[in-house]
Amino acid sequence: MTEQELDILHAYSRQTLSESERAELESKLNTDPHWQKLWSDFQLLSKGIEASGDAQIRELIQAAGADFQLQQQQKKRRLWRNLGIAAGLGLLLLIAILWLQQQRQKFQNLERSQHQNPQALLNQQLDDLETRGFGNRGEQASPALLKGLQAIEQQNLSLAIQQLAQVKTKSQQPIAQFFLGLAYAQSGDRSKAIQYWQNMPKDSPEALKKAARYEVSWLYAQHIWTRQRAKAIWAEIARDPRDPHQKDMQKLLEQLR
Amino acid sequence: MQKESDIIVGLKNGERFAFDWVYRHCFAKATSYLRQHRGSAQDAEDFFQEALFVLVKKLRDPEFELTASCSTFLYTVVRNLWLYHQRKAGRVISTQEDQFLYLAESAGMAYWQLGEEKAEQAEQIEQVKSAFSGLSSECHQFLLLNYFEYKDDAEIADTMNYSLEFVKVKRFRCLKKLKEILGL
Repeated sequence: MTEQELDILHAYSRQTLSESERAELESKLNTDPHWQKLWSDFQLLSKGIEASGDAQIRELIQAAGADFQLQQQQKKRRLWRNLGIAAGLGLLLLIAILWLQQQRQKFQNLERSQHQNPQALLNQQLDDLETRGFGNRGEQASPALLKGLQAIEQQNLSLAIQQLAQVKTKSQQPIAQFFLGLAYAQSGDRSKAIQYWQNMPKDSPEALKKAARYEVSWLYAQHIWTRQRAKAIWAEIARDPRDPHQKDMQKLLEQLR
Repeated sequence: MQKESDIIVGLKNGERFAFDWVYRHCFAKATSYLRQHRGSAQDAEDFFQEALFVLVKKLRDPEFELTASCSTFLYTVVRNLWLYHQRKAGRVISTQEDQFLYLAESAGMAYWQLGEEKAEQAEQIEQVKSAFSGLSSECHQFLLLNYFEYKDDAEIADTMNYSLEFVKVKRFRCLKKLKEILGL
């Protein structure tokens, strides 16, 4: 194939030959074996080159496809891993919640069965104050103390707090403070109740101090974070032979073990 | 954010970012029909590759104008190829689908068939491809511009920094070399 022959075939393939040139070539292609061979070779070469170009495109597509599939697989793996982590965390959380609920239930049951209601103490105090006077000594109870205790009995807790806070008589302050703690505990103000019960005056009667310690321990028992403190107080009570709750606490600690 | 017009240019020029973009943005939509009609994940991958190849070939045709979005075009081609494949495999296609296929084929979309016609010359073409890989990179580029991208001589001269006259000389030399390797 000469350069000139190639130019003619190239122009023919691009349909850029004039009408007469095209007719002349087509006549040769029909009759002349030399031109038939040239055209056949030219077509084969053109198709081969085109196929090479196609192969380059296919390589590009396959490479992009392989990367895409890899990314999809990685995405799926990440999704499954995250789902696994989430499921694991969810399970742990569920176990923790169930455990906390179980613990809460256990301590609520304990409180229901073991916590001696301070109502008895309140009734006794009221009875004493109303019949025999303060401290069985005939000392007249301050009206605020009396009203405060009566208000607790009637569950008018705000009035009780207001009245008990007004008790100024030094000898009557420990009992006022104990029942202030009770009024706050019953009104749901746990921290105030603890504050009053933990800071009983030094000269408070021993029985009142022990009662305050006992009540504080049950407030601590209500929450998981302070439950260890409750147990520590119960252990103290269990070791104290003069504490009226010693035996009860010994039993309770035994149950907890 | 890539514009679709940039992607079209990228696909025409064989730029990798464009192919990655098409996979990311069109694969799921384009293969949705196939996946809803008994196609496997491997089928989706194979038919999408074929459809993307059709798109690139079409884009390189100067007379072709893409009027739909890439994903719509690819969806149509994947669907047509899949229906054609199903019909060849003797699976039942509903009348509505058959009509759709007929319309699509009339519109010149059935590249699959063209591929089969080419298969007769496949061996010879493979030999040319192999010989082609033995040419210099300059001849590669030159012949691909001529017989793959169908650029005219003026465009080739501009792209390769040749004179118009030298384009003809170069074409002759490169083809002659190719023929020599093939023993034609």
